[in-house]
Amino acid sequence: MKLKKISLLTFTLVAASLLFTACTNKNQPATQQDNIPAVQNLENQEQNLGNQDAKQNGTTEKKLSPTITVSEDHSLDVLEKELKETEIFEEDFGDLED
Amino acid sequence: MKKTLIPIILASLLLLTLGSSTIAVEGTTDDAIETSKKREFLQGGVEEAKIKIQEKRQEIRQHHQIVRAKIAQHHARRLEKRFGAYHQRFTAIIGKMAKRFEMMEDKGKNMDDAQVKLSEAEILLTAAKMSADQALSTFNDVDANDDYETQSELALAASDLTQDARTDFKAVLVLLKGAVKQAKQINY
Repeated sequence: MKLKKISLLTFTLVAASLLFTACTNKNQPATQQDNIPAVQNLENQEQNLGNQDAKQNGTTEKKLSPTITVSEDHSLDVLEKELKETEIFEEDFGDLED
Repeated sequence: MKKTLIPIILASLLLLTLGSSTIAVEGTTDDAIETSKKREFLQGGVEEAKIKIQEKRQEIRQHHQIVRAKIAQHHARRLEKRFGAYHQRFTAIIGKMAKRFEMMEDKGKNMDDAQVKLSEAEILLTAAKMSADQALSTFNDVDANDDYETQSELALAASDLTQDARTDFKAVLVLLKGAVKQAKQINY
């Protein structure tokens, strides 16, 4: 009888611990896996954006600098050339759609 | 001897059976109480874990909002530089074109069509500037304390205004190119 009692108690304990592990594992890793990478992804995007800005500013600045300064020459050829050099850049806001 | 032993054995067996069943019933009651206590303990643990998960979610959401606001500020800074450059350049070019067209008119050339394009470009440039300013201020309005929906609405509105501004700037470029082309044709 004692043996029966002990085995019943052991079984209950094992079942309870299994149930507890299942419950906690089901919830915690899901949030960690689902949400933390999302934040890390955003942080990476933020950092990339900074790097991109720095990089783009290098190239964009080069393109924008003649854009800002326009010569005094108002001959039609110069005007045509200056308009040809003018570029309206693409804008992408995909990083805000998360 | 046998006659005496048989009833004793039977009686003992009966007693044993009764005794074991009583212990078994007692054991079952004890087990039920223990199981119910364990269940309560487990439920408490699960509730605690749920609260912790919710707190963590909230923390992550807040962090998410801060990062989104920072990204919006990045866009605002970039657009300020770009749109400022477009506006400055087009204003300068329009000024030079107006001067050139005036000179050509003084020489007796008919600059009406080119002039119309130039005026349209000027009007569109004003509209582009307005959309650009609104886009910038909307991006700057994206606040880290705003909830996800508000941030999304603002980001979407800012993105639409940016596209409007771009469309207008591109149209200005097309109109100015057309005006110069016409002027060149008149000149030759």
